[in-house]
Amino acid sequence: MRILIIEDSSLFAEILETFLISKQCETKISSSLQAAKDQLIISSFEFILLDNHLPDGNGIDILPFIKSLSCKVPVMMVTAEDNQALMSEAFEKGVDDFLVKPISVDLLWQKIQRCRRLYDQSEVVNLQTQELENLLNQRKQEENLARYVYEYTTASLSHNTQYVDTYIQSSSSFNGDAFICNTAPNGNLFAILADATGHGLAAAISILPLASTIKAMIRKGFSLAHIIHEANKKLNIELPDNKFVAIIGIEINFNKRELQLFNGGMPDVILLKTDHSLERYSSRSMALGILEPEVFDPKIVVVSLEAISNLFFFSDGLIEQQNIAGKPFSMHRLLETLKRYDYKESLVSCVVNEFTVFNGMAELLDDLSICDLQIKSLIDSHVYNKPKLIAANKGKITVTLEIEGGLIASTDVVGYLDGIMRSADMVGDLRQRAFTVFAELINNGIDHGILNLDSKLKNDFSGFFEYLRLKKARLTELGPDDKLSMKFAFCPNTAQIDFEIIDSGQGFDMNKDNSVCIDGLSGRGMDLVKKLCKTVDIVAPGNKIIVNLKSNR
Amino acid sequence: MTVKTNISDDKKVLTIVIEESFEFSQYQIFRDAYSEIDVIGIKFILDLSKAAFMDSSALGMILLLKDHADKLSGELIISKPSVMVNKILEIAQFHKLITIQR
Repeated sequence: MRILIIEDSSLFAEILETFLISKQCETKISSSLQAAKDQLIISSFEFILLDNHLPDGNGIDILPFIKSLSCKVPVMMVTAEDNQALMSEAFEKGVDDFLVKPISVDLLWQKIQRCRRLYDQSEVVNLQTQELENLLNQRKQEENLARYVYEYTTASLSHNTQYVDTYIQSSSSFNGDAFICNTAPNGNLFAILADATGHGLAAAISILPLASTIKAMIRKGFSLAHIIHEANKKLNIELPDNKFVAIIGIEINFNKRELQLFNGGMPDVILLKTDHSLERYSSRSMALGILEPEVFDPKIVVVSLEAISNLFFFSDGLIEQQNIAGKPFSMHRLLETLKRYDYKESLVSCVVNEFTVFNGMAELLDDLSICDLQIKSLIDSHVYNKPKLIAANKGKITVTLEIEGGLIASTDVVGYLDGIMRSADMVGDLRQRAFTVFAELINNGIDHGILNLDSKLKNDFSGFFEYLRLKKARLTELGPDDKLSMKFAFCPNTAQIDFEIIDSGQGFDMNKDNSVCIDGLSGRGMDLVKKLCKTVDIVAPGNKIIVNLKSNR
Repeated sequence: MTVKTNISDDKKVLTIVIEESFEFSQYQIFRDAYSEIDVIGIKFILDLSKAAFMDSSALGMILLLKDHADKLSGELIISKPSVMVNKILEIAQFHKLITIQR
């Protein structure tokens, strides 16, 4: 311990110094106030012994200077004066202890140690307080960041949909419930309410990745069963064993006039029928994230939309919430409220009012979510808001096309036919197959019909070149007698294409063996056409081909 | 049709990438992509992942490439054909002749 002795009696100072050195202390002696100040400015001490009578003033007067030092150091006055007034003043000015001469060095040593220990302890406390403050600041910053991400993600979950009412209240700044509502590409409406175990940030963290996955899957047109299965798989992998997510999933199919309902670990979903009766749908599956994907079998119920006015569902925070008297809101009270519902205000505000009156000022124990789908109004708006009428008989489109002369070489007929197919809303597989068939038939008509090129030429490598050279040359010689005629017809109701093509060539010998050798270099075109079409007719003398393609769907 | 080639650093693998459509009109460019290669044991990878369309003459062109590979005691692999292109390869029973990696 480094100790400063402020003492003008050199004898007494020396006695103190000798004693303190024997106690493994390092000492400095200052014989005046000024000398002490100089010493304190240039070096730091862990203890100060202070005499009151000094040549340049009273020891007590240096106390404000000592207390103003950045390094806090205990001070003990050692003086011959046994004066209570002085003692009192010294304590007021911040002296830590007092000893009256003549002193017992052992008592001095005990007092020094005790004083120093108190300082050390308070220093530790100060450090800990500082650390705690830093941690609290850091936590606040992290929480702010998490809140920002959370709010950003949840804000985009649910589009403000007419006739879908919700009320969501968090028990803390983060919500472990999430409501997702969106329309799929096929027009089906999805409403999904998820409730993660616990509440606050821990629950919100379980919900966030799930919510964005579900949202994306709805947008991509996945079915409810597929979405639930995928969500369970994701949570099973990503969440720790003691965390899971209860969920209600509803997919409304307006065209089929039915809805699919999944309830995994949530309170009963309640149907309000137009005759004011209630129907309850209990949870029939485990909450998500518990079972392995292989054994998880989501039980989805199909319910007809007829005679339903509202579909009401909520998280358990509603019925389990206790008021100040310790009574839960309860399913019973909720059912009574629903039975009394008179359709004058929205169902959600009716239930929220009842709940608020019941709960009074009691603190919310869990996150609370309430949702109401106004099924009847949703159906009505769906019927009247249809963008365009889809006729039962979609009709037929027919294109006839004739090209002659040089344009045969340069016209992109296949691309043109593809454009017709696209504009008639033709779907993928049929259009792709038709594209290949048209390309084969048109090439076939040009190469072997009009240009009279022998495909046998392509049977060896040099022949490939010869074939190309001849084709190039003959294409430049096309005249008004060279013709290619086509007729294309598509009927959406039967999903069939009829196509015929006539070239001005001489036809070919239809009786010869046209079977293809597997590693032959040519002759696959017609084989391909036959495999892709329902029927293929080659009309004598072989320059007219009629095909029919049908959609696989 | 666009043809792009890429040879590996050890000169043992040549990747030929066909873009847009794979058809007879560009036979010369396709042939130029590999005809100068004479590395024994070379592996040709015909990458069809970017080919949206293929006609029957392209099948013949693939067989020419296969023949070239065989002459060099090499190997030909067709890589990632689209659904439609794969269907054409299947109809032609090419999976019996050539390794097709989907």
